[in-house]
This record gives sequence, structure tokens and C-alpha cells, in this order.
Amino acid sequence: MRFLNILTPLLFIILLFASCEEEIDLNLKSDAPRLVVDGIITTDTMAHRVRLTTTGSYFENKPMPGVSGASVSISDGYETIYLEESADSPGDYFTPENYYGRQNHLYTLTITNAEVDGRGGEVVYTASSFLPPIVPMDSIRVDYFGLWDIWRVFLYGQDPPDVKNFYWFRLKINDWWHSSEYKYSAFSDDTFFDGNYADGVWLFWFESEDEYNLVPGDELMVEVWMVDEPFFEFIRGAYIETEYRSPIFSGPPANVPGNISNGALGIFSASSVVRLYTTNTISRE
Amino acid sequence: MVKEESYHKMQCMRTILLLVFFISVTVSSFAESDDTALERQPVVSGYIRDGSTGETLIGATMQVKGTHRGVASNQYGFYSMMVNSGNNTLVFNYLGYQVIEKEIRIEADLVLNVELFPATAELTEVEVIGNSTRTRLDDPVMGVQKLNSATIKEIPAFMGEVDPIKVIQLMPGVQAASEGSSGFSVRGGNPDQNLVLLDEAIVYNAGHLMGFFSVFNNDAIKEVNLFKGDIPARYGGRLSSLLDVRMKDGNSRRFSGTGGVGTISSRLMLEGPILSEKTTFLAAGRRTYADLFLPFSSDEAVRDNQLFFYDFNAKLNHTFSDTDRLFVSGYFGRDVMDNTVNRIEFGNKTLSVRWNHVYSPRLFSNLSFNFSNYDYLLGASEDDTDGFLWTADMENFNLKADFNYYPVYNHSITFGVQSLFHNIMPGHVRGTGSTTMFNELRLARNRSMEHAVYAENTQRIGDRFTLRYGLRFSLFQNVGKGTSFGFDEDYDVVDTTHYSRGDVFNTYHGFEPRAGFTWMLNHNTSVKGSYSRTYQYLQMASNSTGTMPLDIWFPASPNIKPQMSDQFSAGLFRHIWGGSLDLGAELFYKNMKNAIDFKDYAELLLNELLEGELRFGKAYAYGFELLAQFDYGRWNGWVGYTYSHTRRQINGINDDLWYRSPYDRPHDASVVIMFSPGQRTSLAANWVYLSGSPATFPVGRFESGGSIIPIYSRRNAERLPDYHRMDLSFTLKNRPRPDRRWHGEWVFSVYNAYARKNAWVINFEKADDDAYTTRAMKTYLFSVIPAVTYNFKF
Repeated sequence: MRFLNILTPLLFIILLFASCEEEIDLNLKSDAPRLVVDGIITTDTMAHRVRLTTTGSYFENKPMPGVSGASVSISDGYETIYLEESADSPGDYFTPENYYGRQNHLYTLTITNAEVDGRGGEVVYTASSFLPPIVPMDSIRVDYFGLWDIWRVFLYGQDPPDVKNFYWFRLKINDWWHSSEYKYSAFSDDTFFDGNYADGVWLFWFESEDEYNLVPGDELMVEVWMVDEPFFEFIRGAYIETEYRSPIFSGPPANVPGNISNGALGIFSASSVVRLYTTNTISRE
Repeated sequence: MVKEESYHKMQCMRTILLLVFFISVTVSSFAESDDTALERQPVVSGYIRDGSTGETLIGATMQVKGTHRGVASNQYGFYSMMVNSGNNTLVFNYLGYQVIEKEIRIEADLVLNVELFPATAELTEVEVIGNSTRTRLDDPVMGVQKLNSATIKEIPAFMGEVDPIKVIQLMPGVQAASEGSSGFSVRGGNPDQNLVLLDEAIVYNAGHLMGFFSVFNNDAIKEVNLFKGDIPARYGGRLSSLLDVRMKDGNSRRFSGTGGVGTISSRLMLEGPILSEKTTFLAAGRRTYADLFLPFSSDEAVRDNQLFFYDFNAKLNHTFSDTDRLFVSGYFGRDVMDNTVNRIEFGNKTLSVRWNHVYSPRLFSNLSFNFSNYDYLLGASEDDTDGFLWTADMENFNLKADFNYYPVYNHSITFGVQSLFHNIMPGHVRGTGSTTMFNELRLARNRSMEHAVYAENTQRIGDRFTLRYGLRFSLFQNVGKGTSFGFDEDYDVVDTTHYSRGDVFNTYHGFEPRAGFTWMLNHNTSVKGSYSRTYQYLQMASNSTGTMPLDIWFPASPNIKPQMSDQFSAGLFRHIWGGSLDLGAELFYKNMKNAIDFKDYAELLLNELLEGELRFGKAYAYGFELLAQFDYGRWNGWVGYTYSHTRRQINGINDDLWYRSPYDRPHDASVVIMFSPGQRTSLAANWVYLSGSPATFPVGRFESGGSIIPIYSRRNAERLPDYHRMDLSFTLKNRPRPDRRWHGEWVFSVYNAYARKNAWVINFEKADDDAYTTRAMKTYLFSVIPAVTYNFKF
């Protein structure tokens, strides 16, 4: 991810040329609605959610309705469990409370009877995801970088050698999720550091003025997710498509690649998660 | 490593030297034997120069009065033509210069060096710029735009920085790749399909500061020629166009200079003779100083930045005799952007050594050695565990021999050989911290050679018809040491082959016919037609339209077939109102094979398996261009309009369906007007209009993980809003004083005079305050940008 950060000073130069942004009115075309799957199970023991919704026009500007009445099941190759739709929020399907994902298992999601616009009930949608083993990281550290007036979060830990690892990181400050969207999360594969020790890798930053100003005693938590390659590609695509795009650094827009069969969008992923905590002790002068 | 490099270079040199030697010997022997023959008519030859500076004039004409016999001077100002023995009146002409007529009795071969003087003058009291863009009716080459540095200087400049590439972009058939970019698209081609030459050396990245300024310092430039597809057989290696930039030779009459102090940069050019007229020099430099103001910023983070570029041009010429001249010229430029955390540096270097030799009055030769290099460096948090230093470079060595042979009055032949050695280091990154987390990654160097032989004849048939026909044969070789990957249908690597030093492990070749004709309907109207085939063996790994410093090039290989283009064009040209209005209409159709595009989310940087990110297909472009150029003394300029389309079909992109190229902008109009109301003042204005560039917009959205993710339709199915802009400039010259050589002038310019907010990009994003509201945000780069420059010359 640092290879993306490096472009920040370049962007700064463009901004120096007094570029400006304003809202523009556009009439966009619309495609027919399709099924969207947003399902993630982890090594945590809890009721995991698979959410079924539909696509909408780009300027729909309201939450998309859930797809009710579908049959949703997850198999780890040994047993298959059926998820139960929530009574309060239609379209949300949950595993039992005591469910957890096992490392090194291949999970398969099967959805039937999911009607979108009164069609598609007969289609069987499937997706598979491999749950990678946990990689325990050592610690995180936070500091204040006065020159740019930002807080920075660093990671310490060992990358396992000779395997391809895909990392996804999410940051929470006290009760506030900094990584509330893909574009505020961090991700990296280990192409450039396979088997090495990360001795303080710069993971996150946030502006003290506009985002969050830490005071001593603030709790920071970083989730370290080990994900499989399709989910990693999905995260990367979602990041690129929701981040600022410029003709200088960005390629053409593209549809975020998902792993659901039969034309449904979204992702089903099985991941391992560990959490690292630290308490801030410094204050911005 | 070094040894290995030099081994390749030597091998390449040896082959080419042998070839050159062989050709020179053959050529000179037949030239001599030919010249001892007493049977033939006498030949008049020599150089045509500017009498005030001694600069050679390119494309000046010599005509035998009362006949249609004529010839134009070549790129080195040399002309040669056979005439009837006896009394001849020779007319020498160059636009913006006074015509000279010489009445001479010619019995034997005659060397006649001619000096023309600018038509400034007492006559009009107005400096005549001369519409240097004017087309020659009888020349069987189409789609050529010629600009001299004086014209370029008149046109309103962005931030006051006079820039040849920005002026070229005002020509029909040429568009900026994106706003403010030094990259340009010619007749729907990609920016990397333009061969950009500075004194015959390749320039890989013509942009400074993200492309907002080009690397060409107008003070050092004599003229710029753009060939929009009808590329002479002498040149090859790119599909779309040739941008031939020639540096001045340096004033041989007296020491002089020009310079300026501008809003963002200062520059100085000095030129003059050394000891005698035989040796001249030119040195030009400029540096921006935007960053000199950064320390005054109230924001510490802004103060922390360094941001500047500089460049330097130098040239040295020596005339040994009427038959031998030596030119050594070079360019060095660098951009630097850095702050506490990151730094980026990049720049071009070129070197050209050329030797002109006149074997006989009818045989002119030029032997060139060129070297070009482009490199960049990127460093981040260099003391930290995740700090790194990333470098990449590419260079080429080019050796070529070109000959102009004028056997009889109605034939003019060019022929020659060329050999290029490309050496590309796509990337090397290593951690720099004391406890670095990064493994060193060094991508394999990529070596290749490109050779060519060519011959082309321009033949006059009768008084009205001129034919040009030529053939270029190009040969491309991938050379070890290198690695080649085999890919399966899913672009996964299935085998890896290593080649040792000196192995030629892959070869492509191609015949490139080039032809054209001109038929003079009457003395001021002509019809032209042309066909040209071009191959391209080297291309840029970039899927953005802007000019980015990290662009690196990659060659054809076992996985990448060379790109090929066939272009047909036809046109009608007419000079009316005593030559003060030139009209031209051209039609073109271009068919391209083995077109390259990049898969979605392609990883183009630091990727050993770059070839797996490429997708191949075909492309076409067609359109027509209208150009009216006027020159009424106080008024001159041009109006251009282009209608064109360009589309691609690439397997693996856009479901294999045809889509618009990013440079498909059907309507492209430009108006350039220059007006000199008085002796001391001049005004210039230009206006451009372009259809919006193709864009891909969402046709829907979905929710996932807290994000709202757009769903896109077909690639480039929509367009940004149309682009238009007006620029103005006003020049006030100081009162001339006969006792002073110093001439100063103030130039006031305004870019985007009516503050059009042209969309640079449209982003689709979630509103900050609402989790479910999305909006389209337009980024525009420049509002009104005024600039003041003080220019001087002495």
C-alpha cells in the first residue's frame, strides 16, 4: 500500500496548481437490478451475517432493500449449516451464535430462491472462499507527526516465509471505526516483503484537525485479517473505485471483481482475524 | 554488468559500422566516377542560410525562374539541383524572408551558398513573423505541420512558458492527451505512438512537472515539424507521427543571447561564434522557482516541499570546409520534488553527434550517433523500516547514416541505414531502513535492437505531377541476457526461459512501404494522396492519459507482436488571395493491428510479469481535417477543424466488444489569431474546442462492507462535458533605440480567459454527511491563470 502512498506528493503538486472540485449534474443510465451478496465469516465465534440486496441506480440515494425469503447455506466441506433470516432486518441471514470459521478450510456459500424483481428464483448462486491460517502480529504503535499534523499507526510483526499472504487491516479508535469503508482500510500482499519482519510499518494515518485528535488514554485497535486472493482483489477493486481518481495516476474504471456465480455481485469471504491493541500516551502539543 | 552492456553496444556498433563503411565506400566510389563523366548537365548546390544569424534554413526553396524545376533545402540547409548549362535565374525563397534572385551563367558544377534576410522591414515597420505553418503545394508529403520558434513564441503560453508542444496541440488532428499534458494524440493514436526527436535523439518523456510543461525550451529551438502519419521512409519505429525538433545551430555572425524572467521560471540562451565563423555554440538553460515561494507559506507542510525543474541545451558546430560540418548537441533536464518523507526525481538526457559530408555536389550525407536516456528515482521514508528507494531507467544508442542523392533535376533520393540498441531497466526497488522489511527486487534488464534500411525517391513527372515512393525494411531483435515467460490462457506463467548474453532469442521484421503523390491542378491548387505503413516495436506501459514520470517502456517480445499501422490519406490544397490564405482539406483512414491495451486493474509498475497484464486486438481511426492559414501582414494565424473517430477491439477488455479509444474526440476546433497593431505591440488569441473525452460512468451501484461501489457499463461509453478555452496575450516591446542592441519586451498572458471550468476528471463518490447519498464530482484544473514575462534579446 505504501506504493500508493508515494503518489501523494505528486497529487499535492497538482493541487498546488489550484485545482478545484465541484458537484456536477449528470444523467446516468441504469442497468436492470441484480442480486448482491455481502457475506463474511471469520474465525470469531459469533452470528456471522450474509446480506442479500439488489443493485440500484447510481443515484438511488437510499439503502437498498434486502432480498427476503432466500435459502442461504454455508458448508465447510464437512457440515452444512442453514442461515436464518433476521426478523428485524429483511435480507440479513445469520449463522448460529456459536459459529466460527476454521483455519485452512474451504467454505462454500449456496443461495437459492433469491428473487430480484420477481425473477431469478430458480438460479443457484454459489461462491467459495478459503480461510487462511492466522498470522499473529506482535503489536501496533501510534505517534503524532507534527510536520503534516497527522497521527500515524505502525505495525510490528513477522510475515511467514514462502507462502503468499494477503493482509487486510482495519482501524478502530475507541468506539469509532476509522475503517468504516474499504477506502479507509489498508491492504497489502507480501510480494515485496515475503518472510521479513515488519519493524514498524506505516499502516494508517488520520488528520488531527479534520478526522480524530487523540488524547492520552485513547484506545486504538487494529484488526489483522488474513484473506484469500479473490477477497483481496475485491478489496483492492473496491478501494480503487471509491478512492479519488485522476487521469495521471489512475487507469480506466472497471467493475470490482467478485466471486459469486451466475452474475450476482459482491463477495463471500472466509477470513482469519487477530486484534492488536494500544493505548495512546501522547498528546499533540 | 557494465562489461556486458558494453559488449552489446560494441556488437551493435560493429555491425552498423561495417554497414556504414560498406555503403560509404560504394556511395563515394560511384559518386566520384559519376562526377568525372562529362556528359551530364552542371549541378548547383550549397547551403541556404539566414544572413543575419548564419543559421541554416530548413525547407527553403531554390527554383529556376521560368520553369517548374525546384528543390527544397534538407534538414541541414543543403540543396542541390541539376540545371541546364547556360544562363539561369535562380530564385531563393523562404517564408518570412526576402526573395533573392541570382542570374548566373552556369557551365560547370557550382557551389552557391546563399543568405536570405528576414523581411522585417522598413517597408511595413512591422516585424513579419511569416506564417511558418504554411504548406508547400508541390511537396508530395501530407499532414506536415511546420512551426518555427518565432511563431511558437507569439502564441499565448500557459503561465508564460512558451512551449512548442502546446502549440502543436493547436493543429488539426492533434490533441492534448489530457488537459495540460505534454502528451498528445495524433489522428487518434496513443501518445506513445509519436516519435519525438530532439536533434535526432529520441525523447522518451517530453514532460516536466507532470506534463504541464514540455522539455523543449523554445529559445534553443530552430523549428518543429510534425508529420501526422505520412512519415518519411528515413524514420520509423512509431505508428502515429514524427515530431522532429531541431535545435538552433548558434549565431555565427555575432555573440548574442535571449532570455526572460517569467512568472514561474527564468531562462537564458547564449549563442555565438568561437574565434571564427567556422565554430559556433549555443547554450540555453532554464529553471523554475515555484518552490522559492514555498518557504513563505504559513503551512509548515507546504514549506517542507521542494519542487522545481531545470533543463539545459547545448550545441557546438564546426564547419571544416564547404563539404564537412560537425554538430554536437545535447539536452539535460531534471525534475525534483521532495519533502521530508518522499522524493521523486526524473529527467531526460540526450546527446547527438552528427557529421555532414558532401561527397559530391549531388550527394549529401549525414552520419549520426545519438544517445538518449530517461530515468526516475523514487524514495520514501528512507530511514524507516518501510522506507525504500526505487529506480528505473531506459536508454538507447542509435547509429545511422542518411544520404541525399540528387541524380538528375527531377529525382531526389534519400537512402540510409539505422541501428538502435534499447536497454531498459524496468525497476529496481530496495529497502533503505536499517531494519528494512523489504526484499530487494530487481527486474531483469530488457535489451533489444532495431535495425532499418530504407530508400525513397521523389520524382517529378512533367510539370504537374510529383511522385514519392519509398520502402523501409525494419528488423527487430530481442537480445539476451534476458528472460522470456510463457503464459497460458489465464495469463498464468507456464514456463520460463533464460537466455544468455548475446543470444538473439526473438526476431520480427517488416516491410514498410511509404508513398505519396502531388498533382498540381493549377499553379495554386494541388491534390495529394499518400499511403504509409509503420511498425512499432517499443511502447509505453501506461494506462492513464496523463503524463506520469513513472512511465516505463517495454519492447516487442515472443509474447508481444509488433504494432502495425496502415494509413491512407488524400487532400486538396489551395493558396488564394495572392498566397495570403492557404486552405487545406485532408481525409485519413488508419488501420492498426496488434493494438495493445491493459487489463482491468493492471499492475504496470515493478511487475516482472508485465506481459501478462497486456491484451491485444485491433484499432482504427478515420477523419478529416480542415485548415485555413492566413497571413495579411498585420494579421496572421489559422483556423483548424477536425472530425474524427478512433475505436479499439481488444480481446479480454470490454467483453471483446469495440470501444472508443481514450483519444476519440470527434470535434476538434482551434482558432489562432495574431495581430500587430503597431510597431511595438502585438496581440494574440487562441480558442480551442474539443468534444469531451470518452469516459466510463456508473450504471448502478451496490453496497458492500460500508462502501457504495459503482457498477460500470461498457468502457468509454460516455463522455465528459465538452472542452473549450480561450487564451490571450499582449506583447509590448520597448522603444527601439538605434544605439542599443538590447531589445526588451513585456508579455502579459491569460490562460483560460473566460474561466471555463473544464472537467479534468469526474469522480463518483459518497457524500461525506450521508451514508447513502452519492454524487458526481468534477475536478477542474485551472481557472483564469494570468502571467507576466519579461523577455530580452541582445
